[in-house]
Amino acid sequence: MFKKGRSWTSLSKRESRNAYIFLSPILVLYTLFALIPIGMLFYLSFTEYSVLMPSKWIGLENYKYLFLKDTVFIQSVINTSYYVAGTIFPTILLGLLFAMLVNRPLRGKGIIRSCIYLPYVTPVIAAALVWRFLYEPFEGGFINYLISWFGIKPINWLGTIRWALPSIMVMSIWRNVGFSMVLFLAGLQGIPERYYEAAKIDGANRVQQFWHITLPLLKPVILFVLVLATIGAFQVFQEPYIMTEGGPALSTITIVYWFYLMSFRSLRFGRGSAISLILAMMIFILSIFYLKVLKFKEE
Amino acid sequence: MNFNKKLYFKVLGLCFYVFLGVLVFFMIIPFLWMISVSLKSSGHVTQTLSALIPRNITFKPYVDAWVGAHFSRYFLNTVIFTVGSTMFTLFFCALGGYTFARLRFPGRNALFLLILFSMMIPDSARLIPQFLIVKFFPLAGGNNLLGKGGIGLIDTYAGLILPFAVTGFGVFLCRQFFVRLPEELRAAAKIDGCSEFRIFYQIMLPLAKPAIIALAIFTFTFRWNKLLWPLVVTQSKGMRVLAVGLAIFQGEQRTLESWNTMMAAATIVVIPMVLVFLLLQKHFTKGTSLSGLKE
Repeated sequence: MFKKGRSWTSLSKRESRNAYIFLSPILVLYTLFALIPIGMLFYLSFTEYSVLMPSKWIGLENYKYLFLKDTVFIQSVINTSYYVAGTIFPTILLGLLFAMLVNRPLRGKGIIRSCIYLPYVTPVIAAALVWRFLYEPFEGGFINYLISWFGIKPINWLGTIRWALPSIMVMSIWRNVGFSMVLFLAGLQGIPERYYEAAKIDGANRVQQFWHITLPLLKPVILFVLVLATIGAFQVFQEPYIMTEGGPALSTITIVYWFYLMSFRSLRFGRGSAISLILAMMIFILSIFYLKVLKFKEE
Repeated sequence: MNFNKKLYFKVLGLCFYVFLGVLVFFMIIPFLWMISVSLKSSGHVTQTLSALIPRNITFKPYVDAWVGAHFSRYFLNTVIFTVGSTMFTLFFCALGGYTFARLRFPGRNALFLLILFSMMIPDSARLIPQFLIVKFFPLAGGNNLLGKGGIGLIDTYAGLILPFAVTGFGVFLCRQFFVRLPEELRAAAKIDGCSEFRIFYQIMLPLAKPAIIALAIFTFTFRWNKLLWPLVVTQSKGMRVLAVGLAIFQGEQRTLESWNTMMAAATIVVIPMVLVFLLLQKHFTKGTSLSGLKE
């Protein structure tokens, strides 16, 4: 009895030792590049700091400045919110629509799916550059050429306050719709065919089947896509950076863009930290909100 | 009546295919247009859609981008950054995922929760601290033990790669996969006197291939896409990655005539990702559904 007990403890000791050895590279890198940064971020957001000078504690001054005096920051929050709301819902709706269109026996199904997913695997920076070319206001500019078929005069898409942000949003929807389609396809394929058969026997039409079977069973997927899309959209940066440089008249400046300019162009690391901390909080609160609200409805 | 109904469905089916065709066309036209313009000479850049297939093909824009604008160097840097950080991520995350899934040790749940928690922090929030840590890295780039005096790991491959050598998402994905593998395998190997690391490396890792491939694809795609981190951590021209190179290059071109070179540069950035996608297509979609939907 005694011997057995002892060998067990020495075994479990060895297992713990192994575990810590295996985890050591992760723990070191993690502490250095994930945990310490979080602490630093909080600290820095209460200081005035550029790499050249020692940091100076200034309490809540950075936050006061951002919310009360920094009109560009407020503008960036408004633009980003507009962008988030205007991209995630179309991305989800179109993704669901495409998934349902493709989720049936079709000739060339694989090719169609690949074509819809392809934009998502292209680097944002290249996609943004290509779209800037499509939006070019000269005569042969692709989009202006298309709308000329309908008798609409050329529009300077990225150069006018009214159209710049919506133009960027269209590009983002184009790029992300494949991602949500793939997730919805996986979700649709997880719904047993017999549910639909039973509904058909009960005389339910297509629309009723969609509302009472497809949609409720897809709820976890919708939630998942919603959270991922929101997190991604709030951090939009590369698109305006390439397509408009935040202009015209700050109409496309986003939170991360302003954070980048503040931190690495003006070298105000304290204020930059405060911006990124506010953004992290916004994302965090919204994710929790989704999880709570949509979970409650499910029950 | 019967005949009419048949015809009705045929027309409906045809309409459906036409609709899908238009849809697919709009999804891929930016790619076609990009390649088309990248093969034209400067004078023909402003042609309309009717010139989608260029009449006189020239590869000069590619030469201009690859040699003249140093995209060959950016390409090499991107491969080093992307492959390097992906390899580290795969190995460390697989080992970590296995440890969290199979080994019992004090603090297991707390550590795993910590890693999950850090998944919720956006990359931009870590940018400034990571930059400072890399800059003040002790005993590197002329720094003393306290990290003062030099530039640290700024403008080095190590500085580029290290902050992205593990991801919380990777550990999470691998753990979810290893948890589902049968425990008996490990017990049997143990009785045969197999060391813990050999169990992981020779028995469990080969079984986890679907998860590893999925993680490899995700990590590779995200790294190839990264702009902000390389933008702030590299300074010399010789260290730029493709994304940074393309961003700076397009900022220097302000004429319509240079669009062909810009599109050639964009094609160079896009092609590797498209190839990876086309070759590993099955794993892409499988990986997306592996990432958390099931259970």
